[in-house]
Amino acid sequence: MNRQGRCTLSPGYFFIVCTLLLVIVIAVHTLWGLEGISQTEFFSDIFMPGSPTKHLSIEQFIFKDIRIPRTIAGLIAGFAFSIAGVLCQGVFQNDLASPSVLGISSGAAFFVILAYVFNFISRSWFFLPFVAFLGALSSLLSLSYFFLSRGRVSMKELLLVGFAISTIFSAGASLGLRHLIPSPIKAGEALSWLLGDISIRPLPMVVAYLPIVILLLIAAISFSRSMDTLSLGDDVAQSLGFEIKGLRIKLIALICLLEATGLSLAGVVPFIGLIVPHIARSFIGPKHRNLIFASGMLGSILLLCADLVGRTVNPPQQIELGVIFSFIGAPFFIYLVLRNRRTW
Amino acid sequence: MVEPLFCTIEHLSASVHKNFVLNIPNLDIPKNKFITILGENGAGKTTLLRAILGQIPKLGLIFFPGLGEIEKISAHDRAKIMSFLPAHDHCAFNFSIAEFLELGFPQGVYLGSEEKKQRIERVARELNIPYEALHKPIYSLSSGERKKIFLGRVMIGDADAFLLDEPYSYLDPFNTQELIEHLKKLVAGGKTILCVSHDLRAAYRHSDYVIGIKNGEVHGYGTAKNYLSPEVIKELFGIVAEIVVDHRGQNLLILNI
Repeated sequence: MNRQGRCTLSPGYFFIVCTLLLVIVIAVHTLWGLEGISQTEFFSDIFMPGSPTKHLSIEQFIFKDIRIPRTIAGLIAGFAFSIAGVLCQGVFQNDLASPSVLGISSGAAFFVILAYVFNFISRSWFFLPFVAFLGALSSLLSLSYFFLSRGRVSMKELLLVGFAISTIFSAGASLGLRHLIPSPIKAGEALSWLLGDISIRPLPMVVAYLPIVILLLIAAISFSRSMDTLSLGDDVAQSLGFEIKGLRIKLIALICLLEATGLSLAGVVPFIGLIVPHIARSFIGPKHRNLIFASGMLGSILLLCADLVGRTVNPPQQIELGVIFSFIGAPFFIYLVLRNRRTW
Repeated sequence: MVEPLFCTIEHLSASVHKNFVLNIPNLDIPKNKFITILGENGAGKTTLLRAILGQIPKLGLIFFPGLGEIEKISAHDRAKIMSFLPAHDHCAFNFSIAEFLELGFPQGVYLGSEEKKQRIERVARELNIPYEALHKPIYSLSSGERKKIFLGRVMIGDADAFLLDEPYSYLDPFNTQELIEHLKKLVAGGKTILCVSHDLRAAYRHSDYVIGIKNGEVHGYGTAKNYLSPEVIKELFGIVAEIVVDHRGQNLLILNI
């Protein structure tokens, strides 16, 4: 793979490798550090509780009530964030766009902090996705207000306006977090959400997101042909019979829904939506039909790996996902900006 | 003109920028011809193409026989009638050449993958894109090679008419000649070519009709040999041209630049 080229890996191989990796990562993520998993009863006790008299060990409880929800949360969040990243890059016809770079995550963060300030978010986590969706939508709409009518946008304009929007919302979020959230416990909860964290999600809530993310994946894939054509520019896509404005609005709604899903499960995880589509594209090319699913899988793998690193580096302390991804993502972003100085 | 018409323009007033308006009281564009639109920079040539495509706000009518006014024709049908090459084409992602050409199929065209593949290979052959290059990433191409794949993208969908904004730019003389020959073949096969170009010699020699645009208005139109006289060229561009007869008895346009 060189600077302009890409690996000639057939999608079939790519998906097989990804599936294998995903299985390994899931296994490690759920089982790492647990004792007694080599015994055969470990799983049968949990999944087939034959005798009610037998009590589960602490390790088994950890596996069932902490590890499994955490793994599923990471799986879904990574999947949703990465697909949102692919769609973002497709909508703006720009491979430097991503929800965090454009300030979409910051918008959602600001709204969630506001919700904490007004004590809107109860322990059931029920309102979180709605609030996050509204936040993502508000910043994406303010961004679109500048650009939708103008067709192709220069990379500089897009990134600078995204940066400005991101800054405003981040400042609002910091203000709320520091001064306005009434109780310190809530403030701590909000902060761990802001930094990205999948450790305390109840299993029923996590599982409820599974069908949602599958529906969103299908919706995203159904737009893949249109998004391929969109990369030719608005006027050409239009001349090929595609209805651009409606397509944009649908895709923007889809991005917000995906972001809301990821944000509700994992909090703010910057840069994952930027990095993952690039890696996937370098392996299987930019055609969206394969790219969307491939990015989703890679995103799950990457997020679980980051979580694994975060919790094993310095136990029992955990390093938040947002911190890890910022350390990886920001240098990657700089690399992309430098590489993108091409004539195209 | 008594031939069948591609479209008829009536009382058109269209603009892309606030300070520029293209006004055309009446213009018939014939079908199944090679038509070149000539004019100096900023005269309104591209605006005319975009108005015909229905991509810019306008007053007046652009009427397609059998289909109606452009604004009433669905995007889907428009894509079947005409295919457009912008002067500055681009692509946001690094597709392979074959993938890129495939993007040119208009929406609603459902071909089998084998059929699509054959079409892609045929168009690539017609444009001298080697078969081995089809898997190459497009970002590795030179400007001229890029132009060829953009043209391929336009031709892959098999529209009735091709609206080409400066199709010869970046092409070397050999490829320009090949392209012109291919365009003429397409016209012989029933297509209409409407192209904006600055190549006066090619326009004089190869196109059936020439439309001259000056300051947002139609200066004149007609067959290349009738309309494109040295006087007209002087008026359109302010340069001196001559028409000479070569040893084979062919008329050639010579520019004294």
